[in-house]
Amino acid sequence: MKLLDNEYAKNFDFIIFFTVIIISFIGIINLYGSLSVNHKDFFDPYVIKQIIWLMIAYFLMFAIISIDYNTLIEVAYYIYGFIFILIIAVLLKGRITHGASRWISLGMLSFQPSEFMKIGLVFALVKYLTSYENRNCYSVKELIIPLIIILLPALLIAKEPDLGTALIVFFVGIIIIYFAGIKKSAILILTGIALFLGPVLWFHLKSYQKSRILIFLHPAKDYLGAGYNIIQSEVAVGAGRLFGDGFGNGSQSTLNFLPAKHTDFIFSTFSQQFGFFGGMVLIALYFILIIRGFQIVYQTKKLQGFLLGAGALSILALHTIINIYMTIGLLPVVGVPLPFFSYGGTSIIVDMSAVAILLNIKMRRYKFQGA
Amino acid sequence: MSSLYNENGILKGQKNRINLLAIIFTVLIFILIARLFYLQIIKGGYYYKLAKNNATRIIYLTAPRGDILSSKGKIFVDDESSFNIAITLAHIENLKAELIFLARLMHQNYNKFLKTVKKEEFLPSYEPIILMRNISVKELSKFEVNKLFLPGFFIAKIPIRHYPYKKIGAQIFGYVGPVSSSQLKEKKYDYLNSSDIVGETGLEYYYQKYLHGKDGEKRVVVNSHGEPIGKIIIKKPVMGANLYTTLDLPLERLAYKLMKKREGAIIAINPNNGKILAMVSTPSFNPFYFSEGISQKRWDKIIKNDQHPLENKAIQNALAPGSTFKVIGALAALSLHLITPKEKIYSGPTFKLGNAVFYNWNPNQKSKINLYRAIAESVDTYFYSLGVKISVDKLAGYAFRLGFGKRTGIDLPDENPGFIPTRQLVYKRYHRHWYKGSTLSVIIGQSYDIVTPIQLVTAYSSIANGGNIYRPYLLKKIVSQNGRILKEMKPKLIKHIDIKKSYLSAVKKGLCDVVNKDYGTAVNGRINGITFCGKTGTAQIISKIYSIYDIKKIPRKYRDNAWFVGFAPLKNPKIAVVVLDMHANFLGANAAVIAKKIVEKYLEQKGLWKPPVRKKVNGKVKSKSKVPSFIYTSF
Repeated sequence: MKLLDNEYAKNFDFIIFFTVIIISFIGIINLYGSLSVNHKDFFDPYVIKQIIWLMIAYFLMFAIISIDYNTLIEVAYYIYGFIFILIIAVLLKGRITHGASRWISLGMLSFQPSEFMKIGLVFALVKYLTSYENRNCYSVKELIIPLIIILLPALLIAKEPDLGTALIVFFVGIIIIYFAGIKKSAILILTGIALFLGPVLWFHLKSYQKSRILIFLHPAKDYLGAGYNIIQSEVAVGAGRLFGDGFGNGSQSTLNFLPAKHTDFIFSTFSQQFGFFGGMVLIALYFILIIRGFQIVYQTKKLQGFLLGAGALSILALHTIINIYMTIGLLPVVGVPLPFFSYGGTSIIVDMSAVAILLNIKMRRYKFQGA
Repeated sequence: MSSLYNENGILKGQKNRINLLAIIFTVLIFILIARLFYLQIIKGGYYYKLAKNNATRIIYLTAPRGDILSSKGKIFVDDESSFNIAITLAHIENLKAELIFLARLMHQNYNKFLKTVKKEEFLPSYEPIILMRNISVKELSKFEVNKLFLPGFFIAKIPIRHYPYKKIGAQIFGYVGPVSSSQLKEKKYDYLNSSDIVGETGLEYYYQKYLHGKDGEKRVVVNSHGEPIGKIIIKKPVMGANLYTTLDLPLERLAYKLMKKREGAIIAINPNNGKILAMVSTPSFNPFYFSEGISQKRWDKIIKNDQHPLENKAIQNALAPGSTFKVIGALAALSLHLITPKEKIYSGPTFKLGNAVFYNWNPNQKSKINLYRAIAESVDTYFYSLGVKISVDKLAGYAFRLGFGKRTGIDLPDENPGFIPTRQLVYKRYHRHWYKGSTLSVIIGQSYDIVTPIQLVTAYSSIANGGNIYRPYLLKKIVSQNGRILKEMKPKLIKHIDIKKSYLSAVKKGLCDVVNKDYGTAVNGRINGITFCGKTGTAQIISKIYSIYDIKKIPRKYRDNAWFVGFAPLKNPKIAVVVLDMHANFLGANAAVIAKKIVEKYLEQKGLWKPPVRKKVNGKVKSKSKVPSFIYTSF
């Protein structure tokens, strides 16, 4: 306990900590319930792996909160640079899964470096934006370097192609810049550029990405093709009705009608089993987690912590909103995980890191530590 | 280090941004909850059903329809297995290549196949799509030999309606067809599913509920790849019940043979209970072409035929009855004490009413005659003189008593009620006031009064049996496949007509003279050893614009309709027959010959009559050549 001395431990946020524990616990139960009818096994590899990843993530969380976030900001560029190189490595020599090269395989474990870029970007941006004095209203010219820091990885990730992660990276970056402060003229110019680039980007999307967006607008048009995911997901959610079909009875997932039932569509799996009632409980937990996060960021007295917290919080909020919106047909299908709920080690680590950052800044909000 | 933060740590504006984002986040959460409420609470039931159907595959196994049989159990209509080439898209390897291969093999058009598949694209991929229906044995063997090259294709055995006598009685049995989407929405068809066939007309329609069996199903829970999980539950289809009609097969065949080249109808009925022994309507059609959905070309051909093959003329065609209607006038006059049967009335070649002149069909008529002779010779002027004494409403009253002007209630759909004029009804229907002279036309069956063959034969049956009107019927019984009688039709007496027996007997004697006296109009209908009674009728289509006696020069559709309706024997009648020969080359007298053949056949079957020893030329049979082809107006 040398690392966590009492003064910090006093400010440890138990609300966030226990909310995360409850969510991940429900997540494990839900994962059990989603197993295929002919593969029901207590030691299911999906569930076991998920538990292992969660345990790793909790250790990581304690590791992160034991280090002053300022120290982490100091080494931000190294983190950012390292992840950037990994992304390029993936692009050059990635394992092909589902037509996308996102993974780096290290023996038993494989992970997606692009996911880590969400965290890496937050640190790098905060370091850059706080390394100059008295800047809280940036002009376009001053924003060129931050924009490069955001767009370079975002575009590379989009090229993998992993549109979901690229969009999260992009939006998290924009939110941090917004918090840091932008001149009104800069807002106008950047919006103009974005409007101009929109169509250009559209033509660079992969055809399946385009069709996902088009299908989102008219899901019934292509019932068995690209619209299939959305429709099956809505069916699963709707079929839950008020109290759900019960644990393990979500036919949409146990009979494999739902694609990506462990990852992107985990919420649909949950909804068919536990219904509107269960959904409300889960959403309430996420709401507590994120509103508590807002509170922590709001109370943070140091700009570094403030921006860092805003970045971490936006990762969690965007993940939650985009993932659930996607499963109920309010957004096109893009690969975004539901924090602590979707199966997958990388996303657990990323979301846990974000939570750790929030805990970290809360614990150190009164302590003005010299460099 | 950093001097960026003021005394509050961070600028005020930045704090506000946090609040703004928290509000946006909260709003987004509420939208999310609203959407979940919509999906799970409002539309939850709908999605629940979808999810269940998702996981359960049901393939319906069509039940064979029940047979339609003669009264003695001979098959009129049954089901046989047809072989059909079908595909399940889920098991196809290369759709295009396989379709081309099959098209070449079967000498069919590839695009036609592709169209069929495209049309069913929205079906779940495990559901079979029928590509070729009812293939021949040769095609079947060709398919079996090449089966290896056609993964995903298979032979589907489907029961199909089979008509051993093809066109005979087609309108009576009716045709079946694939159930339409609008029919599926009707409540009475709620037991059908989309792959079923349904009776569209005739008995197939009327007794659809019984003939249709219980479809079976193959039910299995599958995963998203269509792989079965758990047990396949098969519910075997149950064949529909067999329908025994009252029809007599040999009589039915004979009736069709006699009418084959004519347009019209024949009904033979048991006058003592209303059992229909034979019923045909011609020209006919082969109902087989309907059973799998008729092609547009065939449909057009049938629909454009101006002789209306689909119409059951025996019950759906109401026409002027011509002289067959004279018995109504006779019964009315007798009942109203206007005449006695033996009373002689002068009947000349014409009859004057005010300025109008009414003609007798036979210009040589010039004598005092009694009722018997008036019926036997079908003397128009005799009946004109009755017509001036009877109001049209009174006359109609007697027509109604004999069942005209309303449906007989036969167990077939779309029966025509015909029409019998009264002052009020004519005003209601045609907005015309009654003109006294019209009654004279009504009494000879040549005015507003129109009747169907089934009404006519029912009325004459009641005269024959002494005044009982029975509901005519075609169903003997319905027997389920396990031998249970589901429905049995008993003769139904509708009413006893309120007319004195002696008057009925008087009319009967007149009807007897029509055939059996040498001056009768249907002497060629005479049956050796049997008193066959009846009445001829010739109904004009248009009034005499063709003052020609050579009938062949008149366009077909303007030629008169010939009727004969009668019964035999006089005492204890066994059969009543009506023959309608539309636009006939030969008139009522020839219709009588057709009726006679039916009666002979039936009585012979019953052992009541034996054909005379074959002396083709000398016998009375020769009388056919004596048919006076000049007879033109109504008699």
